[in-house]
Amino acid sequence: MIKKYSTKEKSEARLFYIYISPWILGFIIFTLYPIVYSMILVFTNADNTGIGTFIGLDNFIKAFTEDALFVKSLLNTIFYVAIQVPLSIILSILIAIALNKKNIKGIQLFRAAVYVPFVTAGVAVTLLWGWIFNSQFGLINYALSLFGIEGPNWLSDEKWAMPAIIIMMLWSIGNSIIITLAGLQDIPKQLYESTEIDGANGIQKIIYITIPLLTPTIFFNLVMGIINGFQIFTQPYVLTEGGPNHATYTIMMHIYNHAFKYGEMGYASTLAWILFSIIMILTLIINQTSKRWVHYDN
Amino acid sequence: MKKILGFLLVVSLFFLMTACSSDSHEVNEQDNEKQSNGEEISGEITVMGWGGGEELQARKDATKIFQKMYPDVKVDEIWLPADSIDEKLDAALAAGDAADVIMLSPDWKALRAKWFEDLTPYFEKNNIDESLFTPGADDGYVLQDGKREGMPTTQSCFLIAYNKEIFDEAGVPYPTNDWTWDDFAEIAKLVSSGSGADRTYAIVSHWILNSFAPYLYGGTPYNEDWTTQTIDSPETIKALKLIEELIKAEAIPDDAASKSIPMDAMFVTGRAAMYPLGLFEAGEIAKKVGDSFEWGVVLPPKDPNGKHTNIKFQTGWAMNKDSKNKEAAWAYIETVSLNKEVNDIYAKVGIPALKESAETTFAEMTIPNTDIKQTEYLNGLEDAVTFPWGGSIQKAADIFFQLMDEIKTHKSTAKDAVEKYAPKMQDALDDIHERSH
Repeated sequence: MIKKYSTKEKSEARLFYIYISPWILGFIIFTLYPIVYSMILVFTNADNTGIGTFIGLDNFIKAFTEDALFVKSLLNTIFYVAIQVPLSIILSILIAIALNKKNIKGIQLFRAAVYVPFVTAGVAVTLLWGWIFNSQFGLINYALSLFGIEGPNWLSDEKWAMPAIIIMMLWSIGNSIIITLAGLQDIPKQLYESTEIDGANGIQKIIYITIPLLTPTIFFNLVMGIINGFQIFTQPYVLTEGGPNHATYTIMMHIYNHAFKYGEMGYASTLAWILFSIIMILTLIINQTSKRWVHYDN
Repeated sequence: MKKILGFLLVVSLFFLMTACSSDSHEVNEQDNEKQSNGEEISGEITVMGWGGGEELQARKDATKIFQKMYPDVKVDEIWLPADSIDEKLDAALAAGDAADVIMLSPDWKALRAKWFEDLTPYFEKNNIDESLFTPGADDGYVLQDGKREGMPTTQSCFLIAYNKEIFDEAGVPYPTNDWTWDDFAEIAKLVSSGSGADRTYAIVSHWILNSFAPYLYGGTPYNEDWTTQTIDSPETIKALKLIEELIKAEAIPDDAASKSIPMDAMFVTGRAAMYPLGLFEAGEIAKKVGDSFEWGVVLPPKDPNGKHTNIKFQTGWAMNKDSKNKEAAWAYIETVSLNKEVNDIYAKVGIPALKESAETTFAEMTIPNTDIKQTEYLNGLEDAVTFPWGGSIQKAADIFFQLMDEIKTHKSTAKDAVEKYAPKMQDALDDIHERSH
């Protein structure tokens, strides 16, 4: 039996579609269509105008068998994610715990201060970091020289260029800190009080109460960190242009070069879908394992 | 009386006839003027180009002159920042929505040739004499298959600026236009001194040096139709070895040193004796140097064939082959390429395509903020090769720059780097050609 809708319900439904249509249209035109189109391009040798012929799986074969730079860029990106993401989570927790003290004067100011780099991060800040890492006149090497340490050529040394980018990115983890801080403030106080009665010290409280109850936040930050980490582009592009000797050349830079410098839209789309698959698989794995290590208080 | 009347009649008739003749001549002249002023060409065209600052203003002024000459043609201008032209132009071409007249550079290496009208018939119809062009300005617009894809407008090349005080302190005579790269190497070692943060280098590691490198001893990075790499030729290897040697001798800063201070700051603060001075940056560098020290300019050193090594950047105009108003589009291209008034305006921002303007207006000008005449840029343009790494060649370019990076970071010797990258560059060229077919 078909349900009959009242005039009011019909009117509400009509309004719903009218109000939602700008977003739906925008999504279809600017998101869905490019996604579908890029999926088609994967199997073509399309150039910078999107015109090409069908070449089957040649682009995938090329990526994994002929394109040494793809492998290099992928390994660089994995290295970046493997170091930056855990470090950012650990630092977020430590800084958030410090910022969670309510009895410190001006704590709001400190909270705002750690968030500011996240808001300002971009090309300008990256250029500024270029100066901070300057081997002869940079702040970091100057600070090291005060302790008699000769700083490295941060951006010109293959060993130090990627760590330099990781350091720079750790400076702008304000968002993770604020999310972690919110997670911390969500932990019921009575849990701490009960462990205090049991004689737990500060570190034990962190290990047995704080960390387990922060796991939903850590889970969120981990997934977001991996998604963002695999897509790192602006900072190495501006700071080192992928150098020296491709030491900071990331997969997003490789995709960009093939798409917009070499005009190989088909191949670039293939690389983009490979990247998407990697991120998707990692996210699914983390999601599956989360049942074992993420604890929700309900 | 009859004779007098007859005489008067003849005189009157004569004046009448000459008056008529004068009128008709005037009419004809007006007609011609109308025609040359383009009153018979009408409609609307869109032009699309890039630029900023003074250069953009010059291009806009050029359009104004065109509109004065062709009042019935409405010109819509689309000006974009140089770094966004590629994406926007390709999108417009693919969508069939590109402008009628499109700014281009021959260093695109035929990248968008399939979208452009062959201008040869227009060129021939108007009996355009190639000798009208500034020597070197028209290079690269006629492709391998004979198609003319554009007409030149402005050009730029390089001179070597040198700090006279550093040369004087080192007791080295100022370079002259007959110097060779061997002379350069010798001078470079003499004018560099000091160590660490106080090191004075011979020449800054300007980004253009990468492009100069293959040509120093008469070599090239690839053959004429860029089907075969030639970086492993003895001439190119010799040139790369020279760069390697000068980096090792700290006459040219290595990668780390060059990243420690911006290249222009290195020269203007007296930490480098020489600077490859592009015309496009000459005024700015001169302003920064100010009264700090005296400096001069010289043509880049000669290769063994007697040619001054130089790279030129060129901009011209092409016609969209799908333009709905090709007559007006051609009129625009011809005007901005060959009109004297336009070229005199261009002379303020680059070497104009019209020889007459280049040899008068441009040559008489001095580098802004100095009393150094710009004439040498004209001489430099003639020997200069079109920037070898743009457009279709990008992929091979990245491989060559990687090779240079390995030399500059001391990771490889020139010989090893060539052995490693020559096959990769060949693969890149093969790939580029395979895709273009």
